[in-house]
Amino acid sequence: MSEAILHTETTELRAPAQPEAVASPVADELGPENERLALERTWRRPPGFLGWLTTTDHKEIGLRYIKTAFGFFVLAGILALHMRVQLALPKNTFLTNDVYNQFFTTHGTAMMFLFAVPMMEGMGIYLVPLMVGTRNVSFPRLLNFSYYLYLIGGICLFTGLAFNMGPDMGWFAYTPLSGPQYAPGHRMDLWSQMVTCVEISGMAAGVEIVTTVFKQRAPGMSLNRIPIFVWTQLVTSFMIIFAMPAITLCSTMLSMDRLTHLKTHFYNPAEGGDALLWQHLFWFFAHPEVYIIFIPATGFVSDIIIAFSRRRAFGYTALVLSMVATAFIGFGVWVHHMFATPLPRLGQGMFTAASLMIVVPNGVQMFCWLATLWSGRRPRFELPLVWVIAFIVVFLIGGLSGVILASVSVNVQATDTFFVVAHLHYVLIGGAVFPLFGAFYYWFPKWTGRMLNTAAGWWHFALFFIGFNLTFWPMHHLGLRGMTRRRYTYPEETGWMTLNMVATIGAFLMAAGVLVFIVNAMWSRRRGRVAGDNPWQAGTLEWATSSPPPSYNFLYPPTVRGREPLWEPEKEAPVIVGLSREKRQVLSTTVLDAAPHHRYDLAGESIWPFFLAFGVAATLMLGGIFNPWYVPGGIAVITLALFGWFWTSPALRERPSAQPHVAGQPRLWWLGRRGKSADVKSKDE
Amino acid sequence: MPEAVETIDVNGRRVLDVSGLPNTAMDAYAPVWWGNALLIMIESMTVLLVVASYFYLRRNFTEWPPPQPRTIPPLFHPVPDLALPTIELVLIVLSCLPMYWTDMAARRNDEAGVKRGLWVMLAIGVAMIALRFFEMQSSHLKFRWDDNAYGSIIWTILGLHLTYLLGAAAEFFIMQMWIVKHSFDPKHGLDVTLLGGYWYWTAATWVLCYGTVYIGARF
Repeated sequence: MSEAILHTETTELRAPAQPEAVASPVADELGPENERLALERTWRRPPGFLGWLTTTDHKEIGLRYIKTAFGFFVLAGILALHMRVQLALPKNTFLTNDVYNQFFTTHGTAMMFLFAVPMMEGMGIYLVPLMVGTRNVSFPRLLNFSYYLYLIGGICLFTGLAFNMGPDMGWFAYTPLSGPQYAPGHRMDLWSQMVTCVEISGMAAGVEIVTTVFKQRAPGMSLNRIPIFVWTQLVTSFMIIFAMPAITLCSTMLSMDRLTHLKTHFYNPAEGGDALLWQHLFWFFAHPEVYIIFIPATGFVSDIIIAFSRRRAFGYTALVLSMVATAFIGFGVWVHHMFATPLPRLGQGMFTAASLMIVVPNGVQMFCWLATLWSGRRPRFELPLVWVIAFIVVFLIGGLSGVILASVSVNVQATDTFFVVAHLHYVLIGGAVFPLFGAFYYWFPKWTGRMLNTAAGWWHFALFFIGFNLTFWPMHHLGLRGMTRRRYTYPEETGWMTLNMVATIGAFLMAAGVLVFIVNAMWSRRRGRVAGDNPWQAGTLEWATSSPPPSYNFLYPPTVRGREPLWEPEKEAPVIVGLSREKRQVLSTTVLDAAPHHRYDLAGESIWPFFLAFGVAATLMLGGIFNPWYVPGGIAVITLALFGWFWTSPALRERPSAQPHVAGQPRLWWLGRRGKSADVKSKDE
Repeated sequence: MPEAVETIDVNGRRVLDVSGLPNTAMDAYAPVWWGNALLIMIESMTVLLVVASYFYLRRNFTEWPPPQPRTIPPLFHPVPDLALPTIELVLIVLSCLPMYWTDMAARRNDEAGVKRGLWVMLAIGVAMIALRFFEMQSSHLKFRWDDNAYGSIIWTILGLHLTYLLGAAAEFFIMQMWIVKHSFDPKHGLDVTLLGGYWYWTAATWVLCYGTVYIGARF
C-alpha cells in the first residue's frame, strides 16, 4: 500500500492501442436521453410510504442521518440551555438535582452517540459514493438497517427522558454508580441498550464505507488520489470497526450485571468483579470515538481549504499519514481519562507520552493546511472558509488545554472540574462542529441545488463564534477556581456567579446562532439562489453531477486522471459505458489501483432491513431491560428477517433461465427488489 | 480475462466500455468478501476484548478458578471438565476439512459436491450446538454465571461462541435450502466460500476460547 501512496503516477487505465471509431454497442443503441430515462426507471424509489421505509438510496439515507443527527443536536442543546439557566445564579431552583442529573447525562449521551458520530457517518454516506464516482454504496440494504436502528435507539433515549427515565449517571456511566446497587430502576438499562443499538448501527455504516471506498472507486482513482475527505472516512470507519466492539461488549456486560434474572458480577467488587474494567473498556472505545468525530471534520477542513485556495493540498501524503498516525495513537491513550484511578506510575507515564505524541500529527496537519492557504491563489473568504479558519483558532486553544491536561500532575488537580468541561467543548465543538457548519455551507448547494443565504450565514457565524467563546472560555477559569463539573448548584460565597452568568449569556447567543441557521436552511432550500453544479469551482467528483444529484448519481460514471479530477488540464477522461441500465449495477474496481474489475449488482429495496432493525432493537430493549427470556423470541424474529433479506438478495439470484419476466410491478415487491425495476424487461438475462 | 476497453463512441466521446467485464468475482475482488471480512474483524475484536477481560478479572483472585463453597463437598480447585470441550475442539478443527471440500466444490461449480458438503456441515453445526448445550451446565463448569466474576466471564465466553455456532448453522441451513429450491450459480458459490471463511474463523476462535477457559484455568 505504501508504494501505491508514494507512487504519484499509476497507469492502470490502458491507453487505447488505436482509438477506433467503432461505437460501443451500448452507446450505439441508445443516446444519452434514452440512457437517462432508463436509469431513472431503474434507480427510482418505489412510491408511497413503503417506498420511503424501504429506500436504499445513499443520498436519501445520508440526508436523513444528517437531519436526524441535527435534530438530536438541537434537543441536546435545549437541555444544555436548561442547565445553563440553572447555573446562572447561585442556589437556583430552576431544575431539581435529579432533573439536572438526567439533563446533563442525556445532553452528553445525545451529543456523543446520537449527534456527533451519526452526523459524521451521514456526511460520509452522502458524500463518499459521489466523491469516488459510483452510484450507490456497496450494501444498500445494510444502510437502511443501520439508519433505522440508530433512529430507534435515539427515540428510546428521549422517550425515556420524557417519562422521567432519563439516565442520570453521566455519559460515561461509571460503575459501580451505574450498577444494580446504586442505580435501581430502568434508567441505566435504557441507556445501555440505546448505546448498543446505536453502536451496532455505527459498525454497519463503517463496514459500508470501507467496502465502498475499497471496491467502487472510479477507474484511475488509485489510493493516492482519493479526496482527503474520503481518506478521513476510511480511517474513521476502521476506527469504528476496532473501537465500537468494546462499547457493545461493556454495555452488554452492564445489562447482564443489572438484570435481576442474570445478576452477573463483572463490575461487582464483592464477587471478584472490577469497577475499573468498565472504565478500561469504555474508554478504549470512547477515546477513539473522539477521533471518530474529529478526523472526518479534518476532512471537511482539508477539502474546503483546497477548494477555496484553488490549489491541490500541500503535503497530501503528510496529511493522510498524519491522519492515520492520529488514528493509531488514538487507540493508545485511553488511560489518560483514568489518571485519577490507582494505576501503576509507569503506565501513567506511558499514557502521558502517548497523549502528548498526538500533538505531532495534528501539528503536521495544521501546518499543511496553513501552507495550502498561504501558497494558493488569494483565498476567497466565503462562509465555509470562515468557519474553517475559526476552527483553526478554536481548536488550537482546545489542543493547548489538552496538552496541559495530558500531564498527570495537572490532570489529577483538574479532574472533574469545569476546566475539563471547557477543554472538551473546545476540542469537540471547535474540532467538529465548526468544520461541520463550514461543511453545511459548502455542501448545502449539492444537497438542495440552492445556496444558503450569505447575510444570515454571517449572523449565524458571528453569534455562534462569540457565543461559543463566551460560554466556554470562562469555564477554564471556573475550573481553576474549583468549580466541579456535574454540580447542579453552588453557594454564593464561591464567587462563581459572574463567570457562570457570562457563560449562560454565551450559551443563548450560540442558540440564537443555531436558530438563525435553521431558519436560513428552511428558507434557502426553497428560495435560495440557484447554485448550479459546481458553485465553488471545486475539484472533486461530487461537483461533476447536477445539484441535487439524480438517483443514479452520474449519467455516465466518470474515470479520473488526478487528485482533483475537475481541475485536470486534460478534459477528456473517458466516461464509463456498458453497465446495465435495467439492473442497479456499478463498476467494481481493484483496491489499490482502482483498475476496472467486474460489474457488481446492488440489492434493491426491501422491507427486511427495517424488520431486522426493529427485531434487534426489540430484542435488546425487552431482553436487556426486562427479562432475558425475550431474547430467544427476538432471535427468532431476527433469523426470520435475515432469511427474508437473504432470500431476496441479488447475490443469490435464480439462474437467468429460471427467472420469468414479470410484467408490471409485482405484488409484494417490498419483500425484496432485486436491485432493478421489475416493470422493465431485463436485457441482461 | 475480459477487459474494459477504451474507445470512442458515435458521439465522438471517449468512453471506457465495461460491458465485456464479468458480472461476478471471487475472494478479495468481490465487495461482499470485504463486507464479510470487516464483520469478522468486528467479531474478532469482541473475542479479544472478552478474553482480555478474563485475564483482567483474574488479577482480582488469589486462586483461579476460585474455590467453590456452594457445592457439597466444597471444591478447592474447581477446574471446568475437559471431556466435552475437547470433543468439540477435535470436531470443529476436523470439520474444517469438509468445509474446505465444500469451498473447493463451490469454486468448481460442482453443485452436487456443495450440497453434500453443506449437509455434512449442517450436521456438524447442529452437533456442535448440542455439545455446547451439554457443556454449559453448572455441573461441568462448576459455577453458575451469578456465583462470582469468574463464573460470569466463562459463561460469557462460551455463550458468545455459541452465538457464532448458531449463526453458522443458520447459514448452512438457509444456503442449503436455496440450492435445493433453486440451483447453484457463481454468485451463490461466492457465498459458500465466504461461509467457509467464517467457519474457519469460528474454529480458530474456539481454539482461543478453549485455551483460555479450559487450559488457562489449569495453570
